[in-house]
Amino acid sequence: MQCYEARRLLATSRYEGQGAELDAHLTACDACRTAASRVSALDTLLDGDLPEEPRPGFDTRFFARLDELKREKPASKLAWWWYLVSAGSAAALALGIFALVGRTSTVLPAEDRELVANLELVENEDLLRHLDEVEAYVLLAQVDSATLERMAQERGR
Amino acid sequence: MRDTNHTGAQDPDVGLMLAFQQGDEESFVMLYRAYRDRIYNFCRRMLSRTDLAEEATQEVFLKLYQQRVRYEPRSRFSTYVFRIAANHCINMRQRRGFRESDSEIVDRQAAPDGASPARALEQRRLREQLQNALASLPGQQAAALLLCHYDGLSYRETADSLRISESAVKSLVHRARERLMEALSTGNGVEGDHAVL
Repeated sequence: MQCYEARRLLATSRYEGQGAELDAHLTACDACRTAASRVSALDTLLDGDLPEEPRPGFDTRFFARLDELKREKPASKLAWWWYLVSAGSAAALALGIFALVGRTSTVLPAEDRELVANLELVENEDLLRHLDEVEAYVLLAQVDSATLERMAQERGR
Repeated sequence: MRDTNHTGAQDPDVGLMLAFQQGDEESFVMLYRAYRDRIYNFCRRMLSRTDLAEEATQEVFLKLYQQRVRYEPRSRFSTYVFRIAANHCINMRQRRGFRESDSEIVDRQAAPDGASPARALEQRRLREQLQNALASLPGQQAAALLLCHYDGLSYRETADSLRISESAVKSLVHRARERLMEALSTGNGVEGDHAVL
């Protein structure tokens, strides 16, 4: 057995056993015997860390948490149902609010209705103007370049 | 009753877990009492702090309780519960950016009978150095070493717990022990520290 093999086996000999071949090598090799003593010292140190118990009250705290978890469990099983119902209710409420807000003629005071109507008209005119421009761009995109040039010359006259 | 590779007869703890899965809460309490200290000490050595170890231990058993529906007896029960513990502790170490300085020793280990104060102090110092050295190991190395050394899991069982190959476990354990010997032979940066090995 070579020293490198012996060192590799020494590192895990605690868990795999040492074997006769390693024993024989250690008998003959001072360096590996020194390494073995270091491994043995490590094991002694590791073994010196004795098992402990958790601090007093640990069990009480744990079972209290477990009881709390058990109390939450029935709700958690149905949680997705509640989410669905809640989401649906919220959506229905939102739609209802929008529907109410949309019916301005029955909600707003009389003196404000004309103002709102005028605003709507302005908004609509603006929209119409933009629609005309958009339609114009769409039409122009369909026209070939020669025709575009002729149209531009005619406008220039 | 699901019972594929490991039956309750082969591993009584598997039997308890299967009974718990069927609704027998007393079986869970029995498993808790059987594994509480083992899991606690594993967490204590992984996390080097009593408060974190207690928190982690409780989390492990709460997860065991919550995940009972999904339990399948593919291996020994100890492999299963230590898998939960190892994953939890490795994640905690990563989340906290675990450092040697995070370790804290609450010296509740009794001094050997008849030990002098000097001997007791020396024992405490050695445990502190070991704790610091363990804290310096990467999470998987520490977990592999602890499972093999303290909890008596075979390489195969440790591999099962960590979801890695058996050869990877051997490599991790080897490297962990080499690193510990190195850390303990040169001191670990603690003021007034000196070599242990």
